[in-house]
Order: sequence, then C-alpha cells, then structure tokens
Amino acid sequence: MEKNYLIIRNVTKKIQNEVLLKEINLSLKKHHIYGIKGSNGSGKTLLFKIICGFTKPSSGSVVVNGQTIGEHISFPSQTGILIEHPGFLPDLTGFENLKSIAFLMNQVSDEVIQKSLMAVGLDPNLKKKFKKYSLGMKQRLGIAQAFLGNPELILLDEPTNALDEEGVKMLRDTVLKAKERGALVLLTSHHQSDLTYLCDKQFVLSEGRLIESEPIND
Amino acid sequence: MQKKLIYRQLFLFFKQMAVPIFWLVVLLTFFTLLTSLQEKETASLTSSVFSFFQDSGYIHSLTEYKLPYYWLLIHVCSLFFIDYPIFLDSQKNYYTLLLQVKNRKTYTFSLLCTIILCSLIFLFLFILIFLSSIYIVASTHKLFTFDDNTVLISQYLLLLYFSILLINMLCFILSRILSFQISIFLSVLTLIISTLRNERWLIGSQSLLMKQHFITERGLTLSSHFLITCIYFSVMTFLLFLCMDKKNFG
Repeated sequence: MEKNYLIIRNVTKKIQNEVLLKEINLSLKKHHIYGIKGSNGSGKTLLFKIICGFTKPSSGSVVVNGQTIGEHISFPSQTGILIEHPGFLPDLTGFENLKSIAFLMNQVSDEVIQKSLMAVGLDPNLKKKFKKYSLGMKQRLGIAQAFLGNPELILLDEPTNALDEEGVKMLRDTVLKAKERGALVLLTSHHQSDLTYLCDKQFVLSEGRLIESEPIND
Repeated sequence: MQKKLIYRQLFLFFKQMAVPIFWLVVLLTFFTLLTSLQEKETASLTSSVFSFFQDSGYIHSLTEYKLPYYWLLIHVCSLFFIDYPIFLDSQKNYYTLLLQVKNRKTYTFSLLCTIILCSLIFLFLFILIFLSSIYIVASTHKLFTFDDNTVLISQYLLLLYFSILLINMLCFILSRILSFQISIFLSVLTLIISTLRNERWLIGSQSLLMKQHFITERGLTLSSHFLITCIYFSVMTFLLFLCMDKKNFG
C-alpha cells in the first residue's frame, strides 16, 4: 500500500483573530490527482501557501515525504506550483524566463525547456516578450513552469483560468501524464467539470473547513 | 546553490541593464566633456571629473547650499539600474525561487551579494567609460592636464561606491514593506537630506561634495568613512535579513 506523501494535520490559520482555515486534515498519496473546490476567498490559495511553507499555520503541521515543514525543512523539495497569477520577468521571452529558473534546477536542459513549452502549446522560438503575452499565454507559461523538472508534488491554483478549450485539454493531458509518472497533483478550480474529469478524490473548502465530497456532474 | 543564484541574478542584471547603463554613462560623459571644453585654459583631469558632481544649481541662489545634481542623478539611476531588476525578480519569481533555493537565509544572502556586485559593476562601467573618454580627449586635444590628484579621485570613487551600495540596500529593504515607487522616493529623500546636512556621522562627511576648494583640502579621512560605512552596512544587512524572514511579497 502506497504511503502518504503529503500529510496535513490539524492545520488552522488565523489572521487578525479571523479563523480562515479550521483544523484541516489531509493525507494524500502519489500517483493521484486531488481537487479542492471552493468559492472566492475560501482559503484555497492560503492552504497552498501553507503546504509550500510560504506561510506558517497558526497551529498544526504539514509533512511532505516524511519531513515536517518548518521543522526539518523550510520548503518542500521537488515541488512545482502555480499560485495566483503567474509571475515572470516582463522583458524576457517565455523561453528565457523558464531558462532563468531552470538554471537553478539540475538536469533541465534547453531541450527540456523547449519540450515543456511545446507541451503547453507555446512556441519555444517565440521572440515576443512576456509583457506582450495574452492572459492565456501567460497561464500556459505558468503551467509549463509548474511542471518543469518533473516535480513530485504539483500544486495548481485555478489552472484553467484564461485558458481556451484547447488549453484546458492541454492541461488535462499534462496533469494525467504527471500522475502516470508518479506525481501527486493537487489542484483547485471553480469548475466542477475539471475536477470531475481529472480527480481521484475531491474536497470542498467551505467556511474554513475541508470536507471530502462526492463528485457531482454539471 | 548560492553561487548559482548569484550568477543567475548577475546574468539577469547584465541582460536587462547593461545597455541602458552604457548609454547613461555615455550621455553623462558627453555633457561633462561639453562643460569642461568651455574651460579650456584651466581644465585639468580632476576638475573635469568633479565639475561633473558639483553644480551650483538653483538651490544655491536661494540658500548657502550647493546641491550636486549629478551626484544625485548617479544615485537615482543606480536605484533604477541595480535595485529595480533585483526587486522585480524577487517580486515576480519569489515563490519559485524559494522552492528552488529551499532556504530564506540563502536567498537573502544571495540578494545581498548581488547588490554588492551590481553596485561594483555599475561603478566600474561608469569609471571605465567616463574616465576613458576624458583620457581620450586629453590625449588628442591637449586641453587637460593630468595632475597628481588621482589618489583623491580614487578615494572619491570609493566613497561613491559605498554610498551607491548603501542607498540600494536601503531602497530594497523599504521595497519589502512599501511599494517600489515610494521606496525610491524615500531613498532619494534620505540621500538629499544626508547630502545637504553633511554631518560628521554621515557617509561622505567632509567629502568633496560641498567644498569648492577640494583640491587644496586633503582632509578626507578614508578610515573614518570606512568605519561609518561598515556600521551602516551591518545595520542594513541585519534589517534585510529581518524583513526577508518576516514578510512575503504579495
């Protein structure tokens, strides 16, 4: 039986006496895709930031691959993220932006970057600077970065935002391929159809609490 | 990983800022040469260099202060050329970089090294282009005379480096809690106030900025300026690590 890769234990987050997340508990395995549905301001992005170690929970702990965030390690390794709007340097091209990040990763060559860009439907030879990209192109580049280097834990916050039909199909294919190679993918979305199609298990984040839900077809 | 991060940030600095810095220095050199060519009889290398930084300006007509506009211009430009790309990279790629580096202190230290190195490169480009062009004019037109104040010039440039470094550190620390525009404004305000006040405890006190007859007054005590710089640098480094640890971007 595969052991849990990501364990969230009784995580609570309060900001200025307002409880945003209440005793969140999750145990997630690799080779799986999980979805979280929640309305705007429900705390989905905050939960992702806590998992990544960017924000400390008021109580509780996050364990990734046996290591507690904030105790054994500051940030989880082998993690790809797409949180909020994708941030890239405006005066560089898509390829140059990915290369500047890939420089810090091991075994990510120019060829790998080119394949990542092609996988999300972007031309690796495009000379257009990031500031001239459309919203959809920016989102695609963000997705390419999240999957760059084949991370083991992938967190995607509203990945289908600004994507057209072809982009959504691209994203679904990319997420399924990541699952096949053994990654744990955790994604959030407003759209039930995305979660139903992709996810092995779904949760609903409502009033700070996380509840496992049954998939409901639109 | 720290070395990789520093190389990456230096590469981004060169890619984005090398050409604008080059043209800035060429422009400033051009104006300095024009100014110096008007003083054909008395022009010397030192006076050409320092006429660049000393200007009576409009404030002098109203007060006793001489505000060195070019000195301020160099610093303001350094904020845009050095601090802005570092700030932008931190803001846009903050989460991704943290996940790759895996340690906030490592990332902060690399930022500090980048500011130090970029300030050096900025000043080096300035020296290289500016003084090279002065030398070229001197050798071709024989309008300038080399005097024995090259030690003074070196000391002055060292002071310039210290103040560029400190003002960029200040701006970056402020940009962690305020917007970049307000950070630049406050940094420049700090620079202007410290330039006008010219107090003993401020970097550059008794420097060559405000004095007319700087050539004859060799009272520049580099050791005291170095000590003051070290104190300010230590305080700023502590603040930088503190605010990077406490606050995320966005």
